Amino acid sequence: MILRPTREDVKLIGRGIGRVILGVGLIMAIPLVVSILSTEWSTVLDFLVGISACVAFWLVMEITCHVKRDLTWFHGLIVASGGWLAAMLFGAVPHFLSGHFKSYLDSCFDLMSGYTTTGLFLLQDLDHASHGLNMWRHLLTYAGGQGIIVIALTFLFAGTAGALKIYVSEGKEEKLLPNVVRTARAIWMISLTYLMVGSLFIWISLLREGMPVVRGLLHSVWLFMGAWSTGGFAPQSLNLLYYHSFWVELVTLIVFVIGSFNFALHYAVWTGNRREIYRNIEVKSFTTTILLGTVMLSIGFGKFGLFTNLGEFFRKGFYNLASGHTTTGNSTVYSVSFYREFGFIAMWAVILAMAIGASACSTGGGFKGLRMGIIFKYLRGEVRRLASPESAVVSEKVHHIQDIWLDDPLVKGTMFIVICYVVIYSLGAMLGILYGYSPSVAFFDAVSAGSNTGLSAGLTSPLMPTLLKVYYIFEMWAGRLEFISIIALFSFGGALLRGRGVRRKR
Amino acid sequence: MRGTRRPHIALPLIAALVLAAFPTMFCGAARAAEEVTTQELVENMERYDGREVTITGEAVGDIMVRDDYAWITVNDDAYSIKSIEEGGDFAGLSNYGIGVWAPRRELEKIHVLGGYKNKGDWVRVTGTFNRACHEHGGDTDIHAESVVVLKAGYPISHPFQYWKLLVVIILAGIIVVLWVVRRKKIRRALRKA
Amino acid sequence: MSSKETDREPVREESRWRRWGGYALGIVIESAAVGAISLAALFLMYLIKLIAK
Repeated sequence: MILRPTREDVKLIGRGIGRVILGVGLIMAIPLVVSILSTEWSTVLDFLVGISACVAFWLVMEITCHVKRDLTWFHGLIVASGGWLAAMLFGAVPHFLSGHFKSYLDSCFDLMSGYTTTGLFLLQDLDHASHGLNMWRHLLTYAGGQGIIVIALTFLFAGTAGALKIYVSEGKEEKLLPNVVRTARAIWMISLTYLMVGSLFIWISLLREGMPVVRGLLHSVWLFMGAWSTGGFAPQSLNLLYYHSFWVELVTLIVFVIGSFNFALHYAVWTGNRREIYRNIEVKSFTTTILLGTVMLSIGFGKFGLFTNLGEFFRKGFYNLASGHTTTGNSTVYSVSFYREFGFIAMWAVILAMAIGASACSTGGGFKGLRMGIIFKYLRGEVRRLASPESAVVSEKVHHIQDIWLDDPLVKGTMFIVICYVVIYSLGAMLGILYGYSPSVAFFDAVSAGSNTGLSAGLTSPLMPTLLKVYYIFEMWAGRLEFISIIALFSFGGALLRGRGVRRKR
Repeated sequence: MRGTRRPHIALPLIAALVLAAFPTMFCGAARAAEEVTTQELVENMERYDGREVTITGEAVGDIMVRDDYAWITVNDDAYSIKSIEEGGDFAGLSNYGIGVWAPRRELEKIHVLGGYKNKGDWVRVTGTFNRACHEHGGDTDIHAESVVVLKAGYPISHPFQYWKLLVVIILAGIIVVLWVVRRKKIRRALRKA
Repeated sequence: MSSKETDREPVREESRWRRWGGYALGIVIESAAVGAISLAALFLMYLIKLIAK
């Protein structure tokens, strides 16, 4: 199929994408209801247009792409990567109709940012946005976090063998249960439970801090979604700084760190395998790197001299460092403050934390803790090998739910993906530098986009150069899908072009 | 003769030295509070840290009461003058504002808060700017002494957008047609099987 | 057959409670883990401030 795609292949993919878009349309029902309850009639119309467009597209795909075959692994990859792009285009309809975006490209940027749980945004005048629009923005990260593909799996592909293929390519390799559809449902069960519990705690904190009841409830749900999905969106421009509250910061910190953990870990701990919480390589890796980052940040703060007491170190330092490391993006400082109020060392502690990122098979981005663990064990193994006699057999393992022994293909694959991340971070930084931004700022925002973090040092704005907007969209997309799907998509496209059209299957 | 001329030169010289050393003596209240924008403050935090400033803008979001004091967010960007919901032009940013910590009774003067439905009260706040407030965990904020409501806020009109309704109706029509076509296709496929 | 069903029901009820109790414990454990990491970070920050002095 890779070499000579047939018309049937194209149809299979088309139908798959159609179903993903139907999923997007169905999710839009939630902000629609919120707008109706808030009597925001213009917003209601925005969502009705969006939903209709999605349903119409799905029907067109169902009609034109009628095929009896099942999806293979490769089709799944294409639907995953292509599906994201289509979902971006359709999901941007309510955004653009709201009037808060200068261009459709800006709307698409926010959509890609939402789905990939990045959190950078080009929306203008957020403080005057409707409840419906805010519901959609935050829901995008919550739904995107579980993967729009997984949504399609749960509601639209149940029972078909094609289900397995899309899920794997979504960048989530772990299988919690043998049946993939049940896996998707388990993910949803965990997420919804945390939604109830987490929102409740945030709501209580907000009420305690003086927020009105109803707005407090809306904010608590939105803040939860933003934190849990490690998206980092918040309903006001000042992000977490808006609330000036230690308690709200503490709860969101706990939510986004838990949210950054691997889903397989949640499932293990929830179903009796309690020890996994400290045996897991990603928890160990994250703990190590965040504590190292804390040391670096504290030294930086100490030298810079602005933040002086432990409370400030925690609320301005650790909070933002953790937000970066889990690739969340909630912040308690102004964007420019990363550059002007942190000092060089502390700023770079955050950049490196973002680059390393969160856990695999979670909503986080970056290299991932699993890869850091694998590389560390690999290096340790190499050192041991050098120190041992020729005949000795040296092998290393990592514990991730089960013990995984390191072999060359695994290490090679790991290094490959890490190098891919370094490449996209660096290209983004170089572009920023070419456009005249300071190197630290250019690296900060480029790493933020590529690791799907969402913190900004001030580069990301509606006024940023168009090429940078497009490149950041690519970075967010590629970083989230961990490159494999992207490469598959490009090779499919290339094969289509080389074959000069589609060959009809006899 | 020379002796009598010296005091004429000395007096203005001494006066100039005194002026240079103690400028506040002659500027009075003008130095006490500088009129600035939030953007100016945020981009030059070091310069304004600890100084008395005055900002004028729209009160947005929520008043968060904490015992005798409360928080309010004041925005003074282009959207505080004319928000997007009112039809304002794009200004290339989300919003620019700052948190203000003031005595509760001062903030009780504010009745309308800015958001989707309303343009908030237009307020003038005078207070101390903190780059990293030690009382508030390092927050960048203004501790206000006085808050004056210059102009009351008002509801923003959102005229019904009929063209969007038309688009919905057209799309709904297309959906109905496509649905019928799809059902026909499925029936035909079932009959063949 | 009906006696078999009634025999099974209390067991199912109990296992549902146990299941959700397990989930709740899971939430507590995960939150505690984050708390532990945060405390460790606080301690490190405190140490560094102490050393810096």
